[in-house]
Amino acid sequence: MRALVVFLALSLTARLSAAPPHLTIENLGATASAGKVSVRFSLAGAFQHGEMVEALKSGLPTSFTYSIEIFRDRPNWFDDGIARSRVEVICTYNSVTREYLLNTRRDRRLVRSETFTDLAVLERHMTSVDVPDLFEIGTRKPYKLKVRVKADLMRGWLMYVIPWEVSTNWREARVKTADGPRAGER
Amino acid sequence: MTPRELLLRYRKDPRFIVTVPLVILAATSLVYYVTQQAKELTPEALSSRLLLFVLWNINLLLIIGILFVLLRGVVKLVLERQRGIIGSRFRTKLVVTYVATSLLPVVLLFVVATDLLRVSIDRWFATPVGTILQNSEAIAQMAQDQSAEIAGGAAREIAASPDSRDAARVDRILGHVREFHRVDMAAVYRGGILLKAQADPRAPIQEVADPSQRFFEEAAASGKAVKIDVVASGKWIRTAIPIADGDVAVAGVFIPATTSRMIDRSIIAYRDFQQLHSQRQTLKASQTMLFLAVTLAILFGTLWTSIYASRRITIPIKALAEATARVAEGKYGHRVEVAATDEVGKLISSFNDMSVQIADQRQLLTETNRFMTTVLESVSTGIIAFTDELRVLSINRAALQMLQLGSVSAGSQLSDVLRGDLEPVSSALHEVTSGRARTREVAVIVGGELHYLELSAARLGSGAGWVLALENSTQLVQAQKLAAWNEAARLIAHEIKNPLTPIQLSAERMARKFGKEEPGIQEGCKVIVDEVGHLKRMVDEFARFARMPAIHLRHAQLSEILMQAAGLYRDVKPGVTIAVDVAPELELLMDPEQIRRAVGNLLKNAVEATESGEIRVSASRAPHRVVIEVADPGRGVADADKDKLFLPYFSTKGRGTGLGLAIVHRIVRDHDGQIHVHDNQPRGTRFEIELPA
Repeated sequence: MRALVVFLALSLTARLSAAPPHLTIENLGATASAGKVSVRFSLAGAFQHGEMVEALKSGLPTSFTYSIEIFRDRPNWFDDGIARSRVEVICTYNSVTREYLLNTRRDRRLVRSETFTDLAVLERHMTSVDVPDLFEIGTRKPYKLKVRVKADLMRGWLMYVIPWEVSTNWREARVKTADGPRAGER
Repeated sequence: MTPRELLLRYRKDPRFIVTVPLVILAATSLVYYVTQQAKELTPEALSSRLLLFVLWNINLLLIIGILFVLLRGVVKLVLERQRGIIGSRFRTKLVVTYVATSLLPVVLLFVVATDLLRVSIDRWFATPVGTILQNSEAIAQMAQDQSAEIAGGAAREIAASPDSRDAARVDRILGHVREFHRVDMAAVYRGGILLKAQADPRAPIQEVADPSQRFFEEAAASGKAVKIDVVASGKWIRTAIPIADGDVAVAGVFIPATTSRMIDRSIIAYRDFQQLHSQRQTLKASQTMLFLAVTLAILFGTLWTSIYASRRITIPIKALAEATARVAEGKYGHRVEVAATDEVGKLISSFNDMSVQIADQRQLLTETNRFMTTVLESVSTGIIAFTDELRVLSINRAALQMLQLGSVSAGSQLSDVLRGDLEPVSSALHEVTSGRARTREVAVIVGGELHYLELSAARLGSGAGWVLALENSTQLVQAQKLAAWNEAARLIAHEIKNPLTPIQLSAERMARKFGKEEPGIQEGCKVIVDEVGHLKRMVDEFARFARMPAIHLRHAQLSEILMQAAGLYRDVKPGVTIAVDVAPELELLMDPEQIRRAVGNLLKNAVEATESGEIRVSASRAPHRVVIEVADPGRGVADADKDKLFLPYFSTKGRGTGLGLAIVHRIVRDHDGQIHVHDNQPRGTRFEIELPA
């Protein structure tokens, strides 16, 4: 009995916390220039989820939410958070006109609205993010800073009662200067 | 009043306790009703985050509430059981029964209902309706695709024609294509700007705007682009084919509103179905959570009610049990103040009446006991109550004084109390309790004095023990003995004295007649005469003892009396001195002559018994009496002789009459006093005369 309880608890914890293995943030790069940091990255494996495509095709608003944070990396101590931003891409398919309406919001403000007829193009726009001058770092040394990104895709239900999010793990990258080498990943 | 004070005030109010679950149930029912009404809502509304958020939080709150109430109840029950609080076990059983009888059916109903609901939702999407809608949408899309293909064919021909690059001849190719392909519009765009266009006058070309730049870019990038525009009169389907150098050929087909609406309805119906299908998990979740909310609310209500009901039942029982324990502890008259109206109420009322009656009876018993104790303590008869195992239950003051006992605690073994000199009492006790005798008289030496005790025992009841009555008959026995000796003395005086004179005279005559001739006769007659004289004196003493005069009481100085008595025996014997210690002002109601005689007799015996040393005569005032002591350092009196010391004709001197101390005893008794003999310390004898003052 005790073993069963432990097994169920571990299963539940694993189900709630683990991200699907194919869903990752890739090509994360952060470049500092003139006291501002631009961030770019891409989301891999988002449309391998059958339910995601089905929901998109049904015309339901489908959104990816990217949480982006910049912080000062302090080895052996807590990171010093500097700023955070939230980028949402929300797509709504109009099956009558066969168009995908893609709205992009940054920190709850609509920054772009586009229409696509090609699903592949839409997928590229939803999973590739390039935000120039996202963070102001002032006079901070860029090489001491890092950015990290996580994507929240959709919500599922465990036993139809307990909500759980389909999310990626956090991905970090050190901030590089514009004339330096590309930002590395970790 | 703060909310906490209000809660504390009303938390035990039955109306509050009943109202709270009812309100919760009503709220849940309202949510359920509203949700049922929401059947008409779109799937987006049903699966909206707000509804799910509200349901989720309601469930969470209910779960927390249930866990709180349940855990609080369980913890309280466990603590009460650990502390041994009366009624906790009964309450535990009640709560477990209530919870089990409500939990099992509700949970079972929840599982069955939610499973049925999920199966039902799955069945919605498994019906042929889905296939019909899908086919309908496919046909509608095919109709549009067909129009797009027609437009595409026309645009492709425009793009393929060399005239399309010649502004002067482009109209001709546009007109030809429109006629040939039966499209409603044909146009050439250069750099996103309309170069030439021809349209069917019946088609509302003015209702549709020029395509966006992205449309042309897409056509350039992929070789073809299709754009569907819904306008007021219908729907335009336009297809773009790139020509060259940024020129794009566009042809369009107009679908009238009647047709386009049917197409759109088919598409929209299938889209709605798809949305519903893609949200079936969320729908199941929302419905499950709704059921869960109702289930939890019912559980919360039943749990609350069960704990409240168990408390309502156990509180009076607990109060009754506690009150019973109080009464058992001796707190008679303790009442149960818990209000109850049913059979438990009658039980409480009966208990309260019983408790009051016990208290009244106890009071009566206490008063009776106090009265009996007072009586027992005031009587001169010694009373000892003891068990069948001869353990003391109670002993009164007279018995303690009679047996010279300090204090005897209840439960002491009588054999431990009655030991040493009191052994005869113990033996007599066994005899009277065994039934061999109803009463027994024993002589015991208590405090160095002989006492005669009359024992009589009575059974208290079956197993209740015995009560022993001790009567000090010492004075009575002594009086009887004295009276007997008085009578004997009188008879002796009468019967012996009469023949003594003739004996004496005859002896004298014989001495005169034959004494001169025979010296032996002379000597024998002299002995006879001397002994007769001795007998005469002895008989006179007896006679005087028998005829002791009545005392004449008057106030006199005791010191003077004692000094006079001491003066008679001072310097009588070498080495023996007499010291008198008495307060000069000590005055007493007495017969001075008799007291002087009594003290004189005691001093006479003391002088005779003392070889050397000081004889002390003292007198002191004690409460209600005066004590005269005569103590000598002589040879003392054996314990065995103390019994007979004050009897007439008892003497330890061999040649005395034995009447001295008997006379002393009689004088003292005539003064309503007492005389005791003790061993003097370090040696000798001490006589103690107590006279009432």
